[in-house]
Amino acid sequence: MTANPEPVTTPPPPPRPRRTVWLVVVLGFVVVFIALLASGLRPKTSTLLHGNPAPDFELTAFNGEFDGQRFSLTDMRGQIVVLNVWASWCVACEQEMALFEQAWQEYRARDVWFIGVDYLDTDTAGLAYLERFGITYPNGPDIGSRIYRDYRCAGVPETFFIDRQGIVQHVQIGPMTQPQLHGVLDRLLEGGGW
Amino acid sequence: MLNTLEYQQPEHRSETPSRRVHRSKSRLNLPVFWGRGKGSFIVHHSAFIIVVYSLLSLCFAMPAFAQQPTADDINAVASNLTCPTCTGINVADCPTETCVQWRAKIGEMLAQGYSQQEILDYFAARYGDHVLQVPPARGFFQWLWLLPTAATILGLALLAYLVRSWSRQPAPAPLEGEDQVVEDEYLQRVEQDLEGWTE
Repeated sequence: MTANPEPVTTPPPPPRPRRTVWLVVVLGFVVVFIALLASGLRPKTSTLLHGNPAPDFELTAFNGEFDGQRFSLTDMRGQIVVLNVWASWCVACEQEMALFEQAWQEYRARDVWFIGVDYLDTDTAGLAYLERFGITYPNGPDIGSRIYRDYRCAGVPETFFIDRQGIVQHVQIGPMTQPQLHGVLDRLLEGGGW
Repeated sequence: MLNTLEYQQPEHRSETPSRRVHRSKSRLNLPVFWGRGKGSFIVHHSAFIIVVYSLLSLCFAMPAFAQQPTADDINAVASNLTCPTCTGINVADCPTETCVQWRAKIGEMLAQGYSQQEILDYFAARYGDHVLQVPPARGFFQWLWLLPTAATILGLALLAYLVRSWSRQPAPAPLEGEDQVVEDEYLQRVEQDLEGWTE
């Protein structure tokens, strides 16, 4: 009986470079897709700014004695800034507008600046709204919705209390009450955080 | 109000309609005999009178010429904008107060003679690109155009590659038939043995 012939084993062909290129392209595509998804899932709440430097902003006022004046956070360093994001179509905003005006009159002499950011409004509607509540502190339109986006707002009203060093010390989502407002401002004036 | 945005007016609007008319009238070539001979002063000035009369008529007729946009005109522009406070509803169909204000603004701009594209550009600059129903191919939004295009091209190329590689594969071996030649030595011997056994 003759011995069985040994099976002939042929070496596997080396991987073709074209296949590797395809793999890299497909993987790259998947990575970009996942990265875009992840960026969309990033938390967008403004409360994340608490304790962090406030994003700089530029706003040109359109009301009263400040009409046409440009305001930026950098220029207001050393002062306490209350940045209020509002809109004329926002019903909840109505609860706090008169309160802010009252506080502006009260705290203005103590280096506290109130800045109103009019979000997604027409100028006509925004100015009529300010007149309705007798607002005298500087307000201006949020051009390109940049301030709203940079401060990660998720709605209106939202109010940011920025200390003299430019750090966000308190974020208020929704309308404020008078005790809340005075409490935060007095604490900031004392030099403490919230 | 456009002043807060420093929105630049297109150049063609810097010249008022009345001015354009005046310029074109002044170039009128009246027949030569009108300005010559006796009474030429009156005849000559008749051209001036005609021009003044035309201008005055134009001024009085201006309100009739001023285009007051209809609801359809406004909605044609508004349907290209997305309600910023809703989820994907266009401004033409949205009943919210924001969209009512925006439609009024569109009507105001149409009455001033702005084109649809100029109005859309204004809204995008003022409120952000996200208010446009069709996202522009710039910034973050360019990915919305690039990714599906790239995915389509990649998918088609992958499909072409697979079809090509499949077509290159050798055809499967035919099933054993009567005319098949058995080349294996062992099988040939088995075949021979079997043939001898059956006989």
